Amino acid sequence: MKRSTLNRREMLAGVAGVAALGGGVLEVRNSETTREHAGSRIEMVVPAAAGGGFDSVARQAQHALGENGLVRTVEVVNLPGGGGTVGLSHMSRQHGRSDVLMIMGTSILGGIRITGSPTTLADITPLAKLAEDYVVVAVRADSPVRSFDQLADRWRSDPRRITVAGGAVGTADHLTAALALQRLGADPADLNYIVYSGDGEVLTALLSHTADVAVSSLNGFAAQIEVGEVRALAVSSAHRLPGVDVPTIRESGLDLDLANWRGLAAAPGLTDGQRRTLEDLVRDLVETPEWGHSLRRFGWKDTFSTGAEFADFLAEEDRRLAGIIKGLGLS
Amino acid sequence: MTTAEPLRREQAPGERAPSDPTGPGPRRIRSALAVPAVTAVVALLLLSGGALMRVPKASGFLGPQFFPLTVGALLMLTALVSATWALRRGSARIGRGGAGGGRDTAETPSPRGDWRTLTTMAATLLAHLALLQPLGWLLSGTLLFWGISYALDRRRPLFDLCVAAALAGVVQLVFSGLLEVALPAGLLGKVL
Amino acid sequence: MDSLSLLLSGFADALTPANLMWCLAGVVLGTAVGVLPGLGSSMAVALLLPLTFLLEPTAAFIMFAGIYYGGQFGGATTSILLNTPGQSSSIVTAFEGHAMARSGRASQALAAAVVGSFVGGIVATTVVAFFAQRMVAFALGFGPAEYFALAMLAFVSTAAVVTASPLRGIVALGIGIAISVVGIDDQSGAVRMTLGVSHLLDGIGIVVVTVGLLAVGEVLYQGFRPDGGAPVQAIATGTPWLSRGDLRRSWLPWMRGTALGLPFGVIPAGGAEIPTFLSYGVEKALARRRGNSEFGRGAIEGVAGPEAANNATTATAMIPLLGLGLPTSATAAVMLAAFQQYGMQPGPLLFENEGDLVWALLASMFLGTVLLLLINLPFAPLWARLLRLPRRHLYAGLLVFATVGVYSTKGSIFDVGLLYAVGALGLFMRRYDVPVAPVLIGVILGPLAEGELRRAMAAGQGDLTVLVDSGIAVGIYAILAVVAAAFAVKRIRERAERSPSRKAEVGSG
Repeated sequence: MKRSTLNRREMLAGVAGVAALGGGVLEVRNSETTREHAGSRIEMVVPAAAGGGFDSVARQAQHALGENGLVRTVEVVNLPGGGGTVGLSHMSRQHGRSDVLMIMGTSILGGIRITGSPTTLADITPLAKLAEDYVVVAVRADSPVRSFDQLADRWRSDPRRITVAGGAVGTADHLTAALALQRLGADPADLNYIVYSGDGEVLTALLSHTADVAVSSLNGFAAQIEVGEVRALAVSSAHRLPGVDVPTIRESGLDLDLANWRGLAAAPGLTDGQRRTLEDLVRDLVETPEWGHSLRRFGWKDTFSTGAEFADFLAEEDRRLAGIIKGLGLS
Repeated sequence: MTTAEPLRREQAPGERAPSDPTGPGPRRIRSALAVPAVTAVVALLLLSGGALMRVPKASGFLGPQFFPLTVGALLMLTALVSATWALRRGSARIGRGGAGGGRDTAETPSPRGDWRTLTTMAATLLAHLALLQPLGWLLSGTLLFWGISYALDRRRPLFDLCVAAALAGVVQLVFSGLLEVALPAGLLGKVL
Repeated sequence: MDSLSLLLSGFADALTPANLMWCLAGVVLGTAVGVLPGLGSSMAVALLLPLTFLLEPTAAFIMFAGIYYGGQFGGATTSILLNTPGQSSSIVTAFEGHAMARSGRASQALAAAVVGSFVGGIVATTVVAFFAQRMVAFALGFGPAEYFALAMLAFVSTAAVVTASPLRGIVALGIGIAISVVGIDDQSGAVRMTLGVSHLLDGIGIVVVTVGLLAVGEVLYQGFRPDGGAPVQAIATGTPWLSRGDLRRSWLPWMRGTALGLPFGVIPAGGAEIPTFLSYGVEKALARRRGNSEFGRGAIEGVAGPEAANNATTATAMIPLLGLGLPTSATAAVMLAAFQQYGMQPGPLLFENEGDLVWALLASMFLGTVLLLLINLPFAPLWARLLRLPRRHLYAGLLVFATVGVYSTKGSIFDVGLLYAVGALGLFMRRYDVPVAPVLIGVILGPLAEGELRRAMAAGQGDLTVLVDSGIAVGIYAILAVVAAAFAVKRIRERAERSPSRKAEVGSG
């Protein structure tokens, strides 16, 4: 009796084993063939915490790609830390994978230079520049500081007394703060800068009285500026931004403007074909109405470029940032 | 794995000592010193890592080396204190120090370890690790399941193999097919 | 009362048969993903998020709430049955829950977890619905000094309450912190403790450490010590429901857990782990005081309290998300993205601009919690039957799922190797009676303690008094002092009692 039930169970297990293994084999074949055609699934790496500037770019791209059927599934993965170099080092190990993209930009270039990261842009495949954003210098609404000039006076006389919160080292936030202090004639080494890994955390640090001043991406603060909880003192653009009633840092007589551009990078070791497919995908992305809508809503300036044009820009930008960081004595 | 795998192999001969019936005194002492020894190794790693760290210039008020150094020093202190206690108290109270976190509190460790089972398990894990990429999930996953169940109970290897294949197949279907998590295809991916 | 009518209209939006179906589907799918070891609620949400894009906003959020609660419960299920938490917030559930499962009370543990989640979820959602905007102010009371104090409180109570031997607790905590230090430093970008291995640059993941120590370590230990595995087969007979005695023992922990969890969700970066550990510590200390502690052998209080705390925290995490636009957890980040995709910007203006949708969302959180209870309570005994599998298959399957779970989070074989190495560490710790829980606390809270200490010192430019400059921080340190003092008194008393006869030691769980 017992013997026979055992045998039946064994047979059942055998049949199930063969069936499931067969199904698995079919699935392997299936997924291998679909993986050949990039576009069924993309993993988008964000080298910063959720809820910041880089993160919004990824989530908006995710939406635009999914909504238009350009990619079936887009998964956003946040890997904050180390001025973006944590995400970068992860990306550098995805050799030959055409289904991974990473958000990159000013901050990554700065992060690599400042941290002396062993992984550099040479270890990934920069693809395209998508848009430009700017840095805002802001204080709490209850702060006695009413304008950038007032901040400049206090800052110059005792830089260590002013606590500044912003994104990781080497980000556009950090560079803007250090440059401003230097242009004011103080030693940028005296900058009292507290590092956070996302715009949301920077905002909390400001509102919770941890920091006196915040430097962060403009759109992350937009809602608080609108309701009057936060006072925007200046933005880092060269000219006043359309629809934004905030003066530029230049208007206070400082020789300083810094664009916080955002772009996309792919994994290293791609074939030319894979690279072209991904570039086409990005080109399709920026033409979707959803992407255009996101640009308007977040106040991003459309500066799409790819290929050789982007490569030239990147080389020039890297040289410029390296010079700035060296001038600040941070490299 | 390069960091902790050697640790495990070094442990093996050291751990064997308690199960050998070579007299209670020295064996108990050695067993009592295992934890302080590992603690000291971790502390040394933290201290040397902190001391030799390349620190970027823009690293804030307390640099990145402060925390590892502090924790390393505290751990070293703990290792020294517990080693002295263990030596001074001799063999009497060892093994009853008390587990925590709610596990198996009342039990004392059993005197003998089953080294045969453990070796089979370790071999299975290492083989799985080495074969996952070249053979793909379906085959190496089958091996993983079969190896572990064989290690625990050797009576019905064929039945276990069927279950193993079934589970590996189901996992492939669920993860790769439904959840779109790419599992290594390996050999099969190339053949098909 | 205005809020009440708004909430009712939210229910009117949410309570359509179609929406209920979506919520149901969400709960089922979420549970299904959540029970895969290593994949907890945040993975469930991330993996199933694309499904919700197909729906209109209200239905999407309702399904979303279902997936989330389902995943949460799924993670608790694997904690209890397999000792493998799906997410860091259900680590504590594994301690007593798995002990209960080994002694044949798996379905009671599951039921205590479900009801605990329900109680915590309902109370917390009510708080969110009626006090969200006011509680934002409380969240803003927390700066670096307060977070650091909080981490210290968690460290000390671990060493004092959760473990029986403080020295071993400190050792384990130190190992955990050492693991958390590996990789690129968050703030400065310095490379730390990687020993030249480039794969370690992004650090050792919490999932790897948790699954490695608890699941892989357990399997190896069972193989190493065959006599220890026998109880697993003695499985849930008798009533599958909570008995009257169970209820009497559980209801207070549910309430206390909820009360502990509520404030933690509100403070950004608090996370759900601290309240679960604190709740566990509180229940354990109280049980010991009552003198009939079952802790270590499967105390239902140790499941009921932390699970209620966990869900209370995750529900109140909606407060900083809605009120400040600040995601405090991976799941909240996904929610933030979902909001943005429907064109809403969480923040101070959300309630004014998108009131209808927010209230529908809150209503759907209530629905999700209720459905979770209704669907999963009957399933608890069914899940518990999983333990009737032959022991070798149970453990082999556990390793298979642990491997796949870890592999799928990053697609890295190196991580699988790391998982096995951590498993070896788990075996070593079990063999030498070093508690595992403090390692996990160190891994999770080590970075918080370090990061906030460095921020506080930077803000104060080296002035140590910034650490005790606020009422909240001083309050936390006062609690810490009480805990430490109580513990010291207890140790001294125990030592005095023990000196005549050493036998008494076994009794103290």
